[in-house]
Amino acid sequence: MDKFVIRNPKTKTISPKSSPSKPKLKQTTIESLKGVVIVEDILRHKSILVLKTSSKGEILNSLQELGKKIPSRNVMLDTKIGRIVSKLCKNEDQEISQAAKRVYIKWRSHFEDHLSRPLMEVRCDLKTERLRTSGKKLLTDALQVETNHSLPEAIEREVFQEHRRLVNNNYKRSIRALVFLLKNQQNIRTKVLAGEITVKSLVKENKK
Amino acid sequence: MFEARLVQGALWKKVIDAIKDLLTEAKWDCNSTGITLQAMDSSHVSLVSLNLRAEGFDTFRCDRNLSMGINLSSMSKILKCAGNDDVITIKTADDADTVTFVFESQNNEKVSDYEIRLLDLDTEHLGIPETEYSCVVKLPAGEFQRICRDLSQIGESVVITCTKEGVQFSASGDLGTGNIKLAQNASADKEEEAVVIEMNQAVTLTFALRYLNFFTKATPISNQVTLSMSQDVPLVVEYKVADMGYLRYYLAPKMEDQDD
Repeated sequence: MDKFVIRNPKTKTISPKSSPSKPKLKQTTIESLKGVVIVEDILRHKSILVLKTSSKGEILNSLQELGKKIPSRNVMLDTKIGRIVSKLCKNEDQEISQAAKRVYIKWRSHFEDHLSRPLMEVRCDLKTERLRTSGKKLLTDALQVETNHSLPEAIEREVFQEHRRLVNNNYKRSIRALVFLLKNQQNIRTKVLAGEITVKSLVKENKK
Repeated sequence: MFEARLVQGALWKKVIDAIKDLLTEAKWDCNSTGITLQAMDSSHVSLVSLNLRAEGFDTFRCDRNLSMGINLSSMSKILKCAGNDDVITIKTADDADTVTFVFESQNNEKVSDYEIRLLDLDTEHLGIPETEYSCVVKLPAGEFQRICRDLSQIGESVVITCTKEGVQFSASGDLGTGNIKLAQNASADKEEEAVVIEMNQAVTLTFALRYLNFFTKATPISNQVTLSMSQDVPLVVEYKVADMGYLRYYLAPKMEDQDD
């Protein structure tokens, strides 16, 4: 075979650069996570903090241990640890009050950041998007508002949530019932547009 | 005296198959409300929590609370002896050191019983308070199994990213990378085929596929699986056991090594 083929000189190809080394990942254990707390430990630290006879060193140590974790809301409510830490913020001892403040601020900012956020709208596949857009359009027509009004979208989203985020027959029926109601009952339509009937109660009453 | 009779005995087989690879032995806590099992694997990376309510059984009797330590590989061996259509009864007397499994075939023409020794296990009791999650994804169990299996060809860990665009599973390894994206699919004909994503915050977490592949052994139990994720808490993979309870797996994420 070598007699028949002509060998072209090899062109140099740029070899792909070796990818930058990825950060090394370490498998954590369940207890080492910040959000996982051992309730017994929390209760133990709580009793140390409450006890009048415990020394400054013990209190500081407990606060340091608590600061490593972020208990969930239920644990906070059950153990009332947050109230005790916030009480310690007013302690006469500078060092203790500062340590307590640090823990308290860390926990509070976590709760403000992470919890009680509104649900985000996640993109749906094509068919779902199409069905939901037509639902919005029907509601817009029924309410007789401009296409970019926020009310039809709010109503549609509420219906979607009420039906456990599924576009099923019940969802379709609810949309149709709402469209019919808003189209034919002048007084309800004006009330909804004026905000006298909230979107939530409107949807709840007409849920199929 | 404890006695639990389940007509669809195949469920016991499925449940044991789903946990026997993670745990070698476990303590079954029985009380008048049902049967629970909670245990961590030996490396403390994952946790299994099983709850079967008493109402789900055809007859259930538990006079006083008891916990049975059972070697799961022997339990699995015994349950292999049961047919898929058999009625399975598990019973033990108070203060007995054995537990009896009775398998009755549908016609009652064959009744077999097996006894295994109970173990004296010393495990702490774990309580898991309910928490709120940033991101909850419901998807068909088969789909999740497929994703985990496919990505384990590529690498040993999967990055699960949940954003407004949907949920993305990605893996990378020596041979290259792989990404699987799922968008919400709320218009499926059957409810269990839908992909539903509820989230209030975007999340990115990395998990070992080895464990996820152990978890997906539970796929025959349920058509749908729920993944719940938040920063700083374990991933929860939940399979509903029809009309009876649930099987939940908790998995600690992989994090960047902070030592270097």
